[in-house]
Amino acid sequence: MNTPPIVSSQEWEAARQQLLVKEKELTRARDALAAERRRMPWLAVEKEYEFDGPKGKASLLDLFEGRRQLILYRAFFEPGVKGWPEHACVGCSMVADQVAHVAHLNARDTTLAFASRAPQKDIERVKARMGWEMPWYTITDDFDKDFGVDEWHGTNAFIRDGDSVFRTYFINNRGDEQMGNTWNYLDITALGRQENWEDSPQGYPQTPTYEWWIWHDEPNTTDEDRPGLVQLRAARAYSKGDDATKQQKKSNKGKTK
Amino acid sequence: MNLAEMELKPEIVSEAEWHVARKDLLTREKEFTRQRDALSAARRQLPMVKIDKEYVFYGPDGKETLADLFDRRSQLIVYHFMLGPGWEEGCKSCSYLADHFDGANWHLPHRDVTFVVVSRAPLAEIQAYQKRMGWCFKWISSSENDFNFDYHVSATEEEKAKGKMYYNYETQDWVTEEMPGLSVFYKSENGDVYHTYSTYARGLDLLIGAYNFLDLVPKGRDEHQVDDTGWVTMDWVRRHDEY
Repeated sequence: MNTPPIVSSQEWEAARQQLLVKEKELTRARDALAAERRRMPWLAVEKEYEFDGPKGKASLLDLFEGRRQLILYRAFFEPGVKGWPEHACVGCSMVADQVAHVAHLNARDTTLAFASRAPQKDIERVKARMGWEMPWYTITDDFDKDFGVDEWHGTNAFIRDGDSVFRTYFINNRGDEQMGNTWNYLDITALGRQENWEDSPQGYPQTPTYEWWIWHDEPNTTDEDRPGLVQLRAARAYSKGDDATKQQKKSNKGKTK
Repeated sequence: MNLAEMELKPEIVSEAEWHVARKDLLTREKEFTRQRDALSAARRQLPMVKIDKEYVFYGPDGKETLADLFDRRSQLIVYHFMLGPGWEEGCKSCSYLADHFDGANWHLPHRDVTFVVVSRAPLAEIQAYQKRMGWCFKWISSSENDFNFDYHVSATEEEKAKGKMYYNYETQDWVTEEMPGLSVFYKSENGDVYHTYSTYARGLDLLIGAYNFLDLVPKGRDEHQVDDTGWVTMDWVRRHDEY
């Protein structure tokens, strides 16, 4: 690996200050973007939806748990998804690992919940084993289709006024990355995410995107021990020759970011 | 609170109109994502400084040097947690950040990253607070070395006397015993240790997953902007067992 120049403290400070100017610009740009989100128009949700939850049937309104705002992440955990029934999709599992103590969001009058098509008994079993504590519901109707999450993971935000519910925001694909701070941590390391799409100095270690993802309870001694990776590679080999992203979406729907 | 009480009453629109507004915002979000990727690429081009000073820390694995902390990996992230000697409890904002560490730390070792937390309090005080908060990450004490002073998160006696401290790459007009920060180190194959990166203040903002979620909801973070130290006011934040 060709490392960048090794310099004195003073020279490093100068380079760091230069980068800091750009970082501050990005922080301000991010604040401005968040300000625009708060000015997005709202869409009234008029259709009734029914979820299954730990306490039985629940409407979209019930998912708010009495709070003002609801964030609903669509996680892929159901028959047909890689990992079933032992695991939710590896990327969605990684997102779940990174949900911090929900008390902080609740303190901002906001409920964070996950929703999948798996029955409650499977959801409860996997939640307990993986140590996840956010509420996690079963989708029973067209909710996923209506909110753009039938094929692919995504995050919807809602607000309620009394009993009226409004959709305020939707994000998916790389937009969901910002909810996970593993990516944010890796972005400040010398080597970055070590994925082969990254613009890095010559010779930096890089592997294909997604392949290093793990279920945190799976054995990690060798790649062959990792059922998720073996299946992902098989899916890739199957789709070889075509546009990889498209094929992956088709043959592997919703299973990776 | 009902809608009428909200200062800004958003437009309620049809699905088609909402999609137009959402796509418009999405264009800017994508620009931002690309801009962020470019900034991360620039980080990887930052030069490094070789560390010749020896630091000895006290932690759950006994006495360890900075090089030991890498634990067979080549990259080390150190979060500077504000918990000074004799404090009754750790800083509440650092505790808010720390609520996000364990989840990420399931995954970081798989990208050659070891993650540790450091404070100036003696190890026994650190461990008492860690037990209360239920965190699993490795938390070490720099009570016997200058680490937190050298990386500009703890005010020196000289800075305290002057009433000014060097923080976030400039001299600030205030001084406080401890400030938050995060430093990154790299260990080469021959065992040399290099400093590659440190970030402070709002540079830590991206690591707070709860904020990233709140940036998506209509009310946002619902807090005042920055205070005069340049730090976002986390006035509503409590330790997770104090809400």
